[in-house]
Amino acid sequence: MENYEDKLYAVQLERMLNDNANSKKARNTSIGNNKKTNHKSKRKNPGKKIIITLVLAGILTAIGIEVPTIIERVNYTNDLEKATAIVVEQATENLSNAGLVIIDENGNVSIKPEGNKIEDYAKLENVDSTIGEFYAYDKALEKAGDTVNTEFEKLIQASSYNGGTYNYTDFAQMCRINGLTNNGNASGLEFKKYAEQELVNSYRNGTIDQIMKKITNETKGK
Amino acid sequence: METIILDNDIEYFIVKEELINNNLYTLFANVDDNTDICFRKTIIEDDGEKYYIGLDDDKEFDLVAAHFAKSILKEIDK
Repeated sequence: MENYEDKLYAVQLERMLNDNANSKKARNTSIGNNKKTNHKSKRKNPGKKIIITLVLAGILTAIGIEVPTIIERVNYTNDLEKATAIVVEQATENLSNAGLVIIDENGNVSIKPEGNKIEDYAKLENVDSTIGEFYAYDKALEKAGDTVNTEFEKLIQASSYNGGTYNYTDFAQMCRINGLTNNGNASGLEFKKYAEQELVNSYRNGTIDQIMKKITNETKGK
Repeated sequence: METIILDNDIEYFIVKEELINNNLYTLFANVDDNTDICFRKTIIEDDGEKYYIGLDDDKEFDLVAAHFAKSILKEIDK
């Protein structure tokens, strides 16, 4: 997942973000005719590598352009993309193993024309699922053709909370119970934001593979 | 990539050179922290030796920094 280069990039960026004096440093280091070095001092150093986006960040900061927010946004987007791909792949596999979607030989995923029943989704055993887990299933079902969330609503209604004591009545109730609201009303936007942050956090702390419970073929009903 | 230890005893990558207003400017980046950048321009002394020297003032710095920023952005966008 994260290699040495990713870590080095992150460390240097963090240093720059925290160094308020960085914008003056480049200026102070550059200005002054007394600063003099002979070209002959150059040497080849093939072992070391440069990260040009960090150089650019340094220049932009030096001329007073607010870079940190942009770079953080780019990093967030990249991590979200990777995290989402991982959980949606598992969600799709779970749906397939539970007989809820069909995957053809070309990898195309679809739902049977008449749709699934609510009780079919109980095979996923969604008890106290996290928002990130729901988000993954939403995305997986969307890719299978559930563009108006009909199937996703059935999945929610087959999911329970409070240790399995109650089933959700619908997506809106699930949002309200989990505090995903805006002015007291269930909010799809809050659902999305919360889920995405959960996935990014998990990806960054190395627990993304634990977001989705794995459903195997043995649990598939007839 | 080439590196050099400048007058402040820090080793820098020699990132890029650009001709701006008939002067050759060079962008350097600290090998241990690529966000730590600086600029120098090249002069040729009477003995024919080339030297990197510091810029004159803030105005020259701003001109050079903007130029290199545009140049690198163009490369990244390719």
